[in-house]
Amino acid sequence: MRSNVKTIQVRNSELEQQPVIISPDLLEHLDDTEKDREFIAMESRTFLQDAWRKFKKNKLAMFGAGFLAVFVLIIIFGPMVSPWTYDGIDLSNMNKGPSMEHLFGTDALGRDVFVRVLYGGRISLTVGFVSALLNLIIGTLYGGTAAYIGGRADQIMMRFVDIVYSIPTMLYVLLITMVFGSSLGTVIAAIAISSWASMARIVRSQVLTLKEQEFTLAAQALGASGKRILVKYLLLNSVGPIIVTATLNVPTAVFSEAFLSFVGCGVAIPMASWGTLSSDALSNVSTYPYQLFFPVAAICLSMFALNFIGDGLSSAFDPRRNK
Amino acid sequence: MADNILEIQDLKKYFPVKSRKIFSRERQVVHAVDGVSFGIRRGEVLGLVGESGCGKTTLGRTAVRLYKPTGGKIFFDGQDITNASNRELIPVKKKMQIIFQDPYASLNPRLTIGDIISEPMRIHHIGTKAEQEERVQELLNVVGLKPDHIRRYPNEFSGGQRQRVGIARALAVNPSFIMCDEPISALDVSIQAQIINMLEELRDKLNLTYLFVAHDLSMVRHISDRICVMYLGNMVECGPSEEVYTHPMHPYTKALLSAVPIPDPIRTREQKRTLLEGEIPSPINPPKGCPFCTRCTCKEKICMEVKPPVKEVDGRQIACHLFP
Repeated sequence: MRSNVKTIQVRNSELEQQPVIISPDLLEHLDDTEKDREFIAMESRTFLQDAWRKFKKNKLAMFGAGFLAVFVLIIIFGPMVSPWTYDGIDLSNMNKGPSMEHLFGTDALGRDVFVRVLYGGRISLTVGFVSALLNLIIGTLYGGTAAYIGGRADQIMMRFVDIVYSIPTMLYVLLITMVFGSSLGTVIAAIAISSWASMARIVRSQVLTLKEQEFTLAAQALGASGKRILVKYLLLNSVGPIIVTATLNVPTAVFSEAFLSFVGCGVAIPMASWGTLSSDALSNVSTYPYQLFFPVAAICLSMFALNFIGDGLSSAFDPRRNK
Repeated sequence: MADNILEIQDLKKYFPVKSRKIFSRERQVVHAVDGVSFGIRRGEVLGLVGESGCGKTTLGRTAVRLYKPTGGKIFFDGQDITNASNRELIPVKKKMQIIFQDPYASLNPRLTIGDIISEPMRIHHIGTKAEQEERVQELLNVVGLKPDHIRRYPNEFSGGQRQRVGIARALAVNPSFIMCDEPISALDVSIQAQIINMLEELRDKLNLTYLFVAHDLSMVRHISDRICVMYLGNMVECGPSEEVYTHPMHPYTKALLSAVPIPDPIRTREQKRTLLEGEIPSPINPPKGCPFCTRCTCKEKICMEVKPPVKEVDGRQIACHLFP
């Protein structure tokens, strides 16, 4: 079709004066395949494919995701390759600076800082992801249920959320560690318990608006059960904000863990997280600053990466930023 | 009576309104539907018309038990469903379906067209997965969509196409009764005719009964066998569609019909329009007597005091003191 139009123009410029008369023989018939008005030309994309496409365009977020992936691989496989272990004490090699033998040097007990930072990463990121996941499950179910039932039940459930929200994280941690002892599990539990309230609020507000939509009414008219409506109609439609909040919860949890370990409420020795490593290194910071530098750098870089990813996701899921 | 697929008697639906004063104990209610009775015969199309806010959608939704009625009785297929629990309603909901007004809001945006149409079959556990898929293809064909549309999402479709999906969903479980809740008011005029014609065809082919809620009077005249006119939560006139249109009896019906635009300027100028004065009274505080008495052109003393009962006049029901 298009090529025909071009030939007309070319002919026109060649013959200058002679105007082209548009006659029926210049037109060509559409074949039947092109006559379909209802045909949809654009390929079908699901909601998640669409979000992924937008996410890929965000350079910072892609950089964060790539960095985090490499970081996680190093954290998983690095200690396996290294000849040192995280708790191997070598009193003949105390407080050595970075060298080929010990990439990040050794600490006050001669343990390899590189391996310890990687081990700390395992603990810190586990705390981050597991508590964010717990947070997501509890918050989504609680907030979704409250909003779906509505009325007085919603009021009572949300006042309970207010109470949970108003108590500082430290208090939970102290109480839980006092009762159950200080371990990886208690730290995860404490962070999850203190942080699900905001997730519950976000999910509730989403579900409240979706509940009034006509498609929810349509599902009721079809005779769908409450559980089906909640999961397939209400929560499925709030998946964007839920994923974004959950992703941004990971760095918050990593930081909370670092903070808790730093003040001495974290995982027990000889296990180490980035927080305990920093805290241990703090006493000799003036003499051996590199011992503090590496764990802190690990915290900073992973926080940056996770926040970039979260930001990228939130714009990818935002329909108003469609490109 | 025995042949009525849906029968409602003195149906009432009130919505509580939140009081602005915090400590006040008095509870105000909106009288959305205030004592309406009618029956729909099998295979018939009953049009329900009235201006915005007169309670026609509420009436339709209450009649299919999307809302719990405040008073009155609802019989579907001879079965009293007025106070049926959600569990008891599941088999009933298989037989009555709804087509919604806004095709943009009534489809779940995260499900594919195939999932949306097969959802009723999944809820009512009809057929295997393969059978459901086959049925979806069949329904897509019936409503004039393409088989390859099954994997697409609602946002890829136009309003008319979406309404077709809504119709296919309603037909999925072979219902005998469909409540059409203003199914065409959100569509373009050219698309409206397509959808109306399709609904008519489907009725003949599948032996359906419609309760057709709308405010487009000429469309309702075209599709309905009988029409009911509502005003302020009450039924004012109900009768065979052509007769009501050509000889409206109730003063409100006369005014409503004279508001229908005529596509002919000369006749429009000649036509005497009955213009109503004033506003619709608030449904929170409906008038004591006839609901229409505040705006009626021929009101008498009795209209202000006694609510007119529904009387049978010349084969139609009418609620007005003018007819003895």
